[in-house]
Amino acid sequence: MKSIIKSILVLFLVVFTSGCMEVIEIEGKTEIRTNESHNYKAVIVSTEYDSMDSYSWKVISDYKDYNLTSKTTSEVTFNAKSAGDYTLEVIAKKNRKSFKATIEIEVKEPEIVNGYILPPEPDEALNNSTLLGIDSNDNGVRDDVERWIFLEMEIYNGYEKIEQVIAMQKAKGYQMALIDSTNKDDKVHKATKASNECWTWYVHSKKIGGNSNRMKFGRDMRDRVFDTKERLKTYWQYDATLGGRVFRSTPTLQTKTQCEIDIDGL
Amino acid sequence: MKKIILILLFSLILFAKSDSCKLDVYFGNGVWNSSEQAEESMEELKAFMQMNNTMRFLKVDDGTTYEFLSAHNAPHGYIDDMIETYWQLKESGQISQGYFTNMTATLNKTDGSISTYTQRINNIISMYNLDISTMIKSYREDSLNLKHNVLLVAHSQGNLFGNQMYALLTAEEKDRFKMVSVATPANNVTGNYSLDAPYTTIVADYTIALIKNSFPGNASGFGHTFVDSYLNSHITPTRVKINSDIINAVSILDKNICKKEYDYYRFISYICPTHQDQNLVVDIYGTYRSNTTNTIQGEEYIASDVRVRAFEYPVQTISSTTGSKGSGSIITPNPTGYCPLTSDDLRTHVSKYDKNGCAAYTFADTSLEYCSSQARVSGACDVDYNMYELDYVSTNTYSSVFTCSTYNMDSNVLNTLLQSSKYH
Repeated sequence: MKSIIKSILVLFLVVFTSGCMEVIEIEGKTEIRTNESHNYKAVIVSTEYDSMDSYSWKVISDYKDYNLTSKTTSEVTFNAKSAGDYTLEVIAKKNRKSFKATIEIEVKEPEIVNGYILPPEPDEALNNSTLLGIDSNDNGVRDDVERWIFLEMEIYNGYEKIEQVIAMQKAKGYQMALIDSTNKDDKVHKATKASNECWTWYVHSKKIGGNSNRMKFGRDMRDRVFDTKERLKTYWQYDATLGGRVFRSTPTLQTKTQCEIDIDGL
Repeated sequence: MKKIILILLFSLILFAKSDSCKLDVYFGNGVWNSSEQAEESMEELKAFMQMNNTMRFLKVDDGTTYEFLSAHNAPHGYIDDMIETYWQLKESGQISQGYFTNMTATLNKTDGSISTYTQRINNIISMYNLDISTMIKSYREDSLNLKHNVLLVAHSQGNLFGNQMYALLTAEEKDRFKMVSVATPANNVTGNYSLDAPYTTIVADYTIALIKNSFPGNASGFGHTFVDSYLNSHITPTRVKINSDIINAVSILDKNICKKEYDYYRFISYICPTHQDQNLVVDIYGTYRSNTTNTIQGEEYIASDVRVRAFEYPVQTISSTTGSKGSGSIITPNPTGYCPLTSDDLRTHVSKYDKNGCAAYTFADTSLEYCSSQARVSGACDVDYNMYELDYVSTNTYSSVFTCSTYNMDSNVLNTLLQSSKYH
């Protein structure tokens, strides 16, 4: 009897232990926004296996309006239209053995400010580990800068939407300086000049004048975008390409053309 | 073909004419300013001038009667910019060599990035000379050569560049250049050492107060930045002083702004008894009228052109010219290739133009000789008159039946004439 109990205990321990030993894991974001597509990948974490024979993915959720592509490969793309909790599950098989992994995904409604969908807050260390940082929505503006513009930036002359639009234009120009500090074909300078002159149209059209807000706006923008030593150094490298050159101001009544977005109706 | 050229030239000259009475307002930035900051300051300067001098700087005239530009004084690093400033002060005689050496040696010690002091100073001087030559080239290409008037509103170190640049201008260029100084570390404004010079320095501008022998503060307030401390200062007298200096400078420039539109040009060449080289020296004079009475006011020298006389004067058989020019004669080139002047070539000896022992003659005269003022008014001037004049000024090639020469005008001189022609 004792030996039977002993055998059962050993079997239980073996089963229990093997259940705790993870063979595969799912890599991917646990917090995403609605309608954003993200990739999830099944990764073998056990040294016993170097490959799997097959994969099978599924989504467990109360919501049904989601998409999951390539359900039989090691990597899938997932997006959901409804905010809520989702569980993504993958079962991988190898030599008749099955291995399961899941990941909990919280899908949130996007942050929308003044009709503008904000990118997610980037990981600060990761964002600052490279010169260009993270631009998840690929719109030419770093995510942290974009979020700062819409969530924290001071509104200087009272027209919030206009100033945010001009700030985005300016931030794009500054990001271009980081991408190409040689200012090839003068593209970077044209972009930064245009945003400055769009501000001229703004203060002209709204009849604002006699204050130093343009300077403050510019300083704040530069402080925010060139916020690491490497970024600031690159900006000055770009600026050095402009030494001795003469720049012609666009006539006041034509500065409207310098705005990327028509700001008159904002 | 000539008519097509004529039409094209009229178009060109009309375009040039709209450009000829222009004021170019430059902003000269100080140290440690990025291009972006300099351009922001320039835009604020423009807004300031449009707001405070509304009649002269109508927004609708921006780009036609006036324009704003920024010549970027790029930073070379904090310490190097400081040393460069002291170098400029020493060069202008404001501080002594000893003071310069002491100051820069101290600055150099604070930053050990360059091993030897001499090497560093030499590098900075090279950069400075390059900056000056780049700037003056830019001012000429973008403004002075186009006969625009220039107002430089300079801030901080921008004043030292402005003063140095002014010293290098020709007398004629100096007439069209004015500077208004803001927060200047210098002891003069374009050579004016009087305290009445057009400058504004805040008494509590401690950046300038530290500069030896600089102009004393003459306005209340605090700080050094161009826009925050000076232009948009809450202290009214500061803004009033800057605006007053700007208005005065613009007023002086505007007085001579249209004098440079000429009724006609007189082209003077010379025969020198001592040599008969093939260089054709042409001095060009322009005649201008009074803006108020519309009477001829005077004639002034505009430019000189030196060209090699053409050997290969084409054989032409011209029995006569048409219009009011009178008759011509057949020109036969000298078989030796040298194109001699004959008495026929010398239409008029004008002694007042003689120089260096050489006799002057009117190489061509586009004056009323060919079209009286009455005829001009009545429209009696035929096309030939205009063509004659335009041929001369604009086609780059002049062939006269009267003078044995083919004259290819220098493109810069041609441009000068096109910019200053009154009738076209």
